[in-house]
Amino acid sequence: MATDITLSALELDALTELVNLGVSRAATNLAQMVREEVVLTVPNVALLSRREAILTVGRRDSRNLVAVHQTFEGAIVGRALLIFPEENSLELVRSIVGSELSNEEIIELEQEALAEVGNIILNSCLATIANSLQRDLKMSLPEVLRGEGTRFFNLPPPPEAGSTVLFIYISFALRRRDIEGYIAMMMDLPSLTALQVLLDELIDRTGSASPA
Amino acid sequence: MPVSVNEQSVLDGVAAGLILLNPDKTVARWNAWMASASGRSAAAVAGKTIAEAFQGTKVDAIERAIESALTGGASTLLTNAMHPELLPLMTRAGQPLLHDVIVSPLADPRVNGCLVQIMDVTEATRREQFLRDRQNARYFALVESAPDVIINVDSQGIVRLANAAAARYFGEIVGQKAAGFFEPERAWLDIWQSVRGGSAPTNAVEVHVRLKDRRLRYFELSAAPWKDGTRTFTTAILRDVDDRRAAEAALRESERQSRANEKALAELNDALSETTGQLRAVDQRKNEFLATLAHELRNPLAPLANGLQLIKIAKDDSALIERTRHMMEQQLRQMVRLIDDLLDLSRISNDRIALSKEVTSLDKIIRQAIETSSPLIHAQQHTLTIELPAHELAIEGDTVRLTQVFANLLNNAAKYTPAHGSITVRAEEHDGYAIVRVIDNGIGISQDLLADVFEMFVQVDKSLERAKGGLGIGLSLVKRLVEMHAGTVEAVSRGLGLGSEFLVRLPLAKARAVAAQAEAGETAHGPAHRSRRILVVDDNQDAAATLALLLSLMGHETRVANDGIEALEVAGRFCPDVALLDIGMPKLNGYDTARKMRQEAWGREMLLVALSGWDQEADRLKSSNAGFDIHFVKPVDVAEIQRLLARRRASEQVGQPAAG
Repeated sequence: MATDITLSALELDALTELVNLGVSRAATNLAQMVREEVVLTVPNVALLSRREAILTVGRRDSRNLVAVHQTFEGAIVGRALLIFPEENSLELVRSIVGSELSNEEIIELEQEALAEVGNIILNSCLATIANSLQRDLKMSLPEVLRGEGTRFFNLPPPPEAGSTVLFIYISFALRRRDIEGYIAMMMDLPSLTALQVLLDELIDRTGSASPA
Repeated sequence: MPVSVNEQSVLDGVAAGLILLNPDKTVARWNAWMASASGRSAAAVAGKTIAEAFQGTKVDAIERAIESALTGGASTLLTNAMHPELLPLMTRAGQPLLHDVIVSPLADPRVNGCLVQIMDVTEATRREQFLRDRQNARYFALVESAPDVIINVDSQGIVRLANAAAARYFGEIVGQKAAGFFEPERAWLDIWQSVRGGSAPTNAVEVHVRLKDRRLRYFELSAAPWKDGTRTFTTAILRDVDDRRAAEAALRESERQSRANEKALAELNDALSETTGQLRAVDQRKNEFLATLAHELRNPLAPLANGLQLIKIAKDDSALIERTRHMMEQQLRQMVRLIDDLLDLSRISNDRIALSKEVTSLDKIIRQAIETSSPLIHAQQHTLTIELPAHELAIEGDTVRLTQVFANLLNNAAKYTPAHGSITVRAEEHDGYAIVRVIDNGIGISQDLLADVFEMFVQVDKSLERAKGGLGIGLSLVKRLVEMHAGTVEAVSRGLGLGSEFLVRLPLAKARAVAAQAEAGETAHGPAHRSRRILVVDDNQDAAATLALLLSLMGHETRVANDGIEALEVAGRFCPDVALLDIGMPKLNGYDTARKMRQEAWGREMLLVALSGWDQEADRLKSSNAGFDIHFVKPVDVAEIQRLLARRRASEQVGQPAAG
C-alpha cells in the first residue's frame, strides 16, 4: 500500500468496530424511516492509496458512480463519501421508498432519497467515531455527486486530502435486497495522524476498562 | 462602518424558517417567517420543544436530527420528497407550504445548540409537478395511447417502462428481462447490443415474440438508445405484423391459386377447342355422309328406270327381260343394303339397338356372313380362304347382328382390295375368347387413320368409297355391335397398299350352353334364307309396297293388301305364314281383320303382327285381345321383323307353339 501512514492491525480493528457501531445506528435510523428491518454490515476497513480506491470502486463494468458527499471538521478534518455503482442506486432508492412506486417515480425521488440515506449513514458513522473518540466533529449537509471514481477522489479543497483513503466496504440488506457500496473517508496527514492517536487512546481506554 | 443591528431583526428578515434550539432542545429563537407559516408566535412557542410546539404532529424525524446535531455535530437534511408535510405549515395565501428541513449544529463551538432551517420548496415542487404533468401528458399522448408496444430498457436489459399496448400483449413486463420475450433471445440481444454500441437506430426487423398466453406472434422491432444524465436506456418499439404477414401469406396463396386457376382454365379452353374441333370434324363428316347418301340412293334409280323401259320395249324377248330383271335385282339389293345401314345408323344414334341373345355357333355366323358377302367377293374375283377350328366355338349373342358384323368386315375387305385379291377369315379360340380375323391384301389403312376407322362417317378413301358404294358407317356399326357383345374389335395395317386386318374378340359361351347349342346347330340355317309367305296390309299403298319389297328382297314371298276386306280375300288364297296388319284402315280396321283371320282355318296358326302408331299398354292389350301375336310400333323396321321370324323358326324347331 502506497500510503504515508499505516494503521496497525489493532488500530484497524478498533476503527472497524467504530464504523460497525456507526452503521448499526444508521440502520436503526433507516429502519425507523422506512418501517422495515435494515441490516448494514461493514466487514473490513482498509487504508488505500487514492489510485487503489479509484480502481476498487470502478472495478465493475459500469464506471458510472453515484456518491453522497459530506465534509467534516473538528479534531480531524476531511470528507466522507458513500459510493454506489449507478445501477445500484435506483435499487437502493427502490428499497428505501418501496417497490409499489413506478420506475419513473423512483427516478424522480432518487436525488432526495440518496441524499437522505447517505446523510443518515455518514452522520451515524462520523458521529459514532466522534463520540467514541470524545471529540467534537461538525458535519456538512449531504450533496449528491455523479460521475467516475477519479472525480470523487480528487475533489478540490477545502478540506485538504492526503494521499490515503480510509476505505470501508458496506453492504445493505433491505426488503430482501442486497446492495453493495463503499464508504470512503479522506483526510490530510495531520488528521490521519490525529485519528491514529485518538484510536490508540480509545484502545487504551477500552483495554483498561475491559481487560481481555 | 458595520451597521449595528438587532439580532432578532436579522432572523426575521430571512425568507426561510429559522428555529434556534437550546441544548435542552427547547426553542430559543423563532423567526417571523416561522410565526407566519406555523401560525404560532415566537412568544407562544418559547421554551417549548418542537414536539410541544407542534403538538399533534409526528416530528420524530426532526427530533432524531436534533439529537444527532446536538450529540454528534451532524447536519441532517429532511426533504419534502421523502417526508411530505413534515410540519403543518401554510403559505400566506392559505395553501399547504411544502418544505425541506435542515438541522445542523451551531458553528459556534462555545454554544451547544442547534439550528433548524425550514426551506420553502412549494414553488420548486409545483414547477416540477407542472413539468412532470406536461411530460406525462406528452407521454400519454405519444406512448401510452400508441397501438405499438413501446418499452424502455435499462443498461442491464431490464424493462423499466412499458406502455398500455405492452401490458395488453405481455402483461406485467416492467422489471423483467426484455430478452425473455423474444424467440430466440438472440434476436433481441443482437439488436439491443448493436444499438447500445452506438450504431445508428436500426431499421425495423421482424422478430418472433412470445405473448403472455405463450403464443408466438410476429412483430416488427425498431430500437434506439437515449441518455438520461449518465444512464443509457434503449427504447424499443414493437409493431404487431402477424396479421399483415398472414394476409401477405394468404395473398401469396391466393395468387398461386389464381395462377393455378388460370392454368386450369387455359387447359379447359384447350380441351373445349379440341372438342369443338372434333365436333366440327364430325359435322363435316356428317355433311359429306349426307351428300354420299343422296348420291348412293339416287344411283340405282336410273338403271331401275331404264330397266322398266327396257322391259316395256322387250315385250317377248325373254332373254333381254331376264338380263334386265337381273340388273334391276342387283340395283335393288344395293338400295336395300343402304337402307338397312341407314336404319341401323338411326338406332345406333338413339341407342335403340336391342339384342336378342342366344347361344349360337360362331362357325354358323361366319358362314352366313360369307354367304351374304359372296356376291361382292365373287364380283371382284377375290380368293377367299376360310380357316375355322375343328370344334365349334359357341358364343352367346344375337346371330343376326353378329352375322352383320362379319358381313360388313368381309364387304369392306372385298371393296378395298383390288380385283383378284385374297381375303382370309380365320377363327380360333384363345383364353376364353373367340378371335376372328378378317385379313385382306388390299389398299390398307394409313397409320394416322387407324385410330379413326371406327368413327361414324369416316371413310378410308372417299373417292374409292363412292366408287364402291357405301356410306362409311359399316365399321362404326361393327364396333358398336361387338362392344354390345362384350367384345372388342381392332384394325391393324402396316400402311397404305399393305393390306388390312380386322380382329374381333368375342367371349365364349359357358360350357353347358355350348352343349345345348351343339344339337340345335346341326339343323340351323340362316334365318334370312328360310323363305316365308308374308302378307303386308296397309292402306298407305307406298308403305305396304316398300315393306313388301324389302321382305321379298330378304327372300320371302310377299303379297300386299290395302284394306282389311282385301286382306281377308288375299290371305284366303295366299295362306301366309305371317300377316303384318296396319291397325288404322278403312272398311275393316286391323283389330277386326285379325279377329276374322283367327276364325279361319288358315289363320289359326298364322303369326299375326299389329303395326300401330300407338305404344301405350292399353294399345298393346287391345292388340292382344284382337288375336295379334306381336304389337309393333310404326315405323316398323325390317330387321326387327327379320329377328322375329328367326325366333319363330327357332321355337318351331324345338317344337313349341308361336309366342303368344
